[in-house]
Amino acid sequence: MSSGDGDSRVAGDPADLLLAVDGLQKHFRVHGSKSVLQACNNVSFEVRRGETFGIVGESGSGKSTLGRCVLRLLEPSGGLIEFQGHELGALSKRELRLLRKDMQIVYQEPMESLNPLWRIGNQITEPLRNFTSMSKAERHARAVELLGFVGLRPEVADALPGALSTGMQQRCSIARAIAAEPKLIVLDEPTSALPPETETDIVTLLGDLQERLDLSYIFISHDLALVRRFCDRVAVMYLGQVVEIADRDELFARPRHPYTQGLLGSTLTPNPRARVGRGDRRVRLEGEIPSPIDLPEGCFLASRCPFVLERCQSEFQELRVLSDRHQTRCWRAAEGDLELAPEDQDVPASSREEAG
Amino acid sequence: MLLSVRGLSVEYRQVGSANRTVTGASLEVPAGEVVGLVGESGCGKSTLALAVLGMTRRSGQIVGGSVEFEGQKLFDVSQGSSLTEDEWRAYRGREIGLVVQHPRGAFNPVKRIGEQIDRHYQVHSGASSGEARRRTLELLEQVGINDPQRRVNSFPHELSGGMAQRALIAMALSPSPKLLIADEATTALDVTIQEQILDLLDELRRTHKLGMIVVSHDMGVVANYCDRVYLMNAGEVVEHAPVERFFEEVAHPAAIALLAAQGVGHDHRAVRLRGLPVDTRRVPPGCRLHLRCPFASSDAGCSTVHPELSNFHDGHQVRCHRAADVTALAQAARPPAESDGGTDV
Amino acid sequence: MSVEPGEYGAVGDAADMGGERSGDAPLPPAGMGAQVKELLRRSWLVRIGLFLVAVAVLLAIVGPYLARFPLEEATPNANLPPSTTYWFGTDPNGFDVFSRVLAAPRIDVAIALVATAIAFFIGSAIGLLTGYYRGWPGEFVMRIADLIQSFPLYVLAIIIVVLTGRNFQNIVLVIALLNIPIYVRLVRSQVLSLRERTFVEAGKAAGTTDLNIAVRHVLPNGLSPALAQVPITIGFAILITAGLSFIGAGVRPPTPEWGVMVASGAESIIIGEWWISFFPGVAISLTVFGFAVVGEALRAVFLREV
Repeated sequence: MSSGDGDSRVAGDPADLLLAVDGLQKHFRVHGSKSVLQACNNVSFEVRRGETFGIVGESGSGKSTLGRCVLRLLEPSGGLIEFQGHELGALSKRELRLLRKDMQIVYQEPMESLNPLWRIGNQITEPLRNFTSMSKAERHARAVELLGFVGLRPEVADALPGALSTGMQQRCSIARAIAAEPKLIVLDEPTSALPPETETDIVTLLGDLQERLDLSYIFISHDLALVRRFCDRVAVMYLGQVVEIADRDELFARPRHPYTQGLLGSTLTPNPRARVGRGDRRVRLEGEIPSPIDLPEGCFLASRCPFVLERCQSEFQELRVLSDRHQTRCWRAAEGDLELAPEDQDVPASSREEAG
Repeated sequence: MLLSVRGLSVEYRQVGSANRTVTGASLEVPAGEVVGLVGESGCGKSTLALAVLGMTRRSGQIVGGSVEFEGQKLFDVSQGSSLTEDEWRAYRGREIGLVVQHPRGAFNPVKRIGEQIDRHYQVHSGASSGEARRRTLELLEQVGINDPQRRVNSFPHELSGGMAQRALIAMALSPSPKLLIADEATTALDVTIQEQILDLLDELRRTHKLGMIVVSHDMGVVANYCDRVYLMNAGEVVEHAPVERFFEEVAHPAAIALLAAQGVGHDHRAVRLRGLPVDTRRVPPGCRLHLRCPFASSDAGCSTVHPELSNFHDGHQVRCHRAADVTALAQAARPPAESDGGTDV
Repeated sequence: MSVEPGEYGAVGDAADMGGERSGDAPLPPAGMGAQVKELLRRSWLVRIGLFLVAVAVLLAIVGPYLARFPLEEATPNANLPPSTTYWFGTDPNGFDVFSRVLAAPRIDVAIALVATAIAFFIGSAIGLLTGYYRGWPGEFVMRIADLIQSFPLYVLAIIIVVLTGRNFQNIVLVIALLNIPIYVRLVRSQVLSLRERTFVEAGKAAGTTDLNIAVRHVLPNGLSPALAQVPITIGFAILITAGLSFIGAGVRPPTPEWGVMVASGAESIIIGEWWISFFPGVAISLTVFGFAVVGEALRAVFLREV
């Protein structure tokens, strides 16, 4: 099936295309009732080789569900996922399993994502056991090498996860993800369960690995500052929809959707001088994200948007193409009705310098 | 001065040893000011914040220091004086509100949210139940909870984590405390909600002269909402300064590393602290941090003489022998070259 | 004065393995060895329990060779009280009670161990499969388990043994059958929650097959409650074996077996010949007690963190 979401294809060499997601849907039946929770609504995007694609949203936006659906770790309810030319939905169970060599995931909670009873060495070489014919000795040697890649000593191979700090556990998860030399790794909030001091370490490590191993990432996060530091292109999600998708610099310099603007404005930069005038910003999102069980008819943001008009309440919003690098799901923004120069909406000073 | 804490020390008694997680910490909160308390995980900042209320977790005990609130001594360990439990009640909750990070433990799981907030307000203000409910609804609305009329009838488990956190903040604010201690109170919230709450607190600060101690690891929160920053490390206050100075003229190596880790100032790889946080059961002689500090030098006495908190600038104190040189050293520091496949300890 | 790094914990254990400085303290290792040590440290009661279990298992192996008199050869020296010749006295057939008390574990403990092993393996396998692959076969199996468990155990055991014949295999199979539902439930309930854990999905992402995930990831993490149940089942099986034999539905006399022996002396107690029933009775009690104590201790150690 094809989405009615406009053309989400981004210009570029088709050979560069690694993953194309088209009209992805994921619905959950709510336990003990007839209602349906729509975690992902018609999501379309593409990931090119070597890039980091950011997916950012608040809790409940469906971003983690999306990450799992893209790898078919969760069965999508609809839509097409094309990875390296294979349509994932059409693959047999075995074909899909073997294709997992090329697509991996790192989870938010490192302790939860490691089997507490397996020694780290066996754990991080699990993909090799499944995808290669390496002997046990070869796998052990590779485990030591992988641990080196992620900045851990060889002794860690014999440790159980419980003996490691969460930062070290997360490094092990990363080692497991890169073990079989995948093309794509979904990073599902890889730093948000870690002590804040280790966040930068992990992000730096991920950046180094990307360069060294020619990886593409889908980086899922609620932290705009982190997404800005790390991603090449960014999709902003709200209530299971992509509301804006653009190149990083474009998105942060000229956010078009009111939700993106609100999110950006609420992100606090570590600069005391930025606080001056923060209070009289134009876009402030009041209230909270509505329930994904009972979705509104028109624009999903209508209940929180400061620019809401009557048309927004009734008309379902499509993703509109602004340029080949920028799409947004807001008719007013698309028609130039919400022309907000960055000066008007008070991007904190430090961020403006970086973006410039 | 709204709150003065002098030389506060907290110990955790374990079999055969005592772990002094806070040592001689002093801080002051003027009315209408927000004090940020920062430091890496396990540095003692939460313990200190709780100790202001004469409270500790588990086997902890306040073993030194005094706390004065609006000129009234709450306790003074050296004189062996403290409020009675009855007298404490007039401060805890009423004059001094507390919001912790994990809200579910703070609510009674079998009572409705509304009842609990009403009750908290009634106990501390003597209001009627009708007044209390009005106040509850008003506060729930202010902390950004949709449809408070319906939410007051929810049980704690029916609220999402973020919603429970906001309900807890509403409860802490209901008796109009003069001081609010917020221990990572907004950490788990989405940024749009966090902003609503911080703005509400900021408004209370301006209109009601609410004083605050904000324990946070988020330098964005600190930069945007605090007036003064206290940095702790290994149980000690090692630097405090007005917020602009803290972000621009910071002098303690721990502060430089903390800011660098969040993308402020220097390259974090060049100025990071080595190894694990100092084990406060076995503190080394000299500066507690010297084994981890990239700028430690035996000539300056880092490994032999314990540095005192001393004036670095007007209203800016630092506990570091090399405070004057650290900025220049950090400027010159280069990230260590990475060996192939090596460790980056 | 110089300070060696490490002396003050600034560069500590976890840091030696590499990685960034970490705010959270590493947890103590949770290996099997540490757990056993913990078990022994718990109390003198556990040590007594372990001792009794060890003796019972040892006797199951060497018991018959320790006999001081032929085990199944009737002699005229019937119903003699304990003496220096017959330490525990003799029974109505003139058998030496002491020799037979030592020899009986060959039957009682062996039946219990084999039956428990069967129940453990089959029950855990069913529990794993029905928990991991949900759906109607699992529900069907659970209803059968309900059915088995809703019968009074002794009555069921008697009926089956009498119908199928009183031999070693049948007693073992009956006891195993009675205990399988317990293991199905214990393992299944664990598996149902474990299958939702992230590390299971991580195994899937690593390309591990479903069956391998079930056996290698899920099962080891869900086995603790079942393992803690093993000694308890063994003790219970010994009781059932002896009980069946006592009422004549189990092992046939004159095979040395505690239940049979208690039965052979039951009528003589009234006339003061207490030793015939007393010593095998004590043996049953001590053995069952030993297994029960060990089971409780295992439960405490294994399930503490669950």
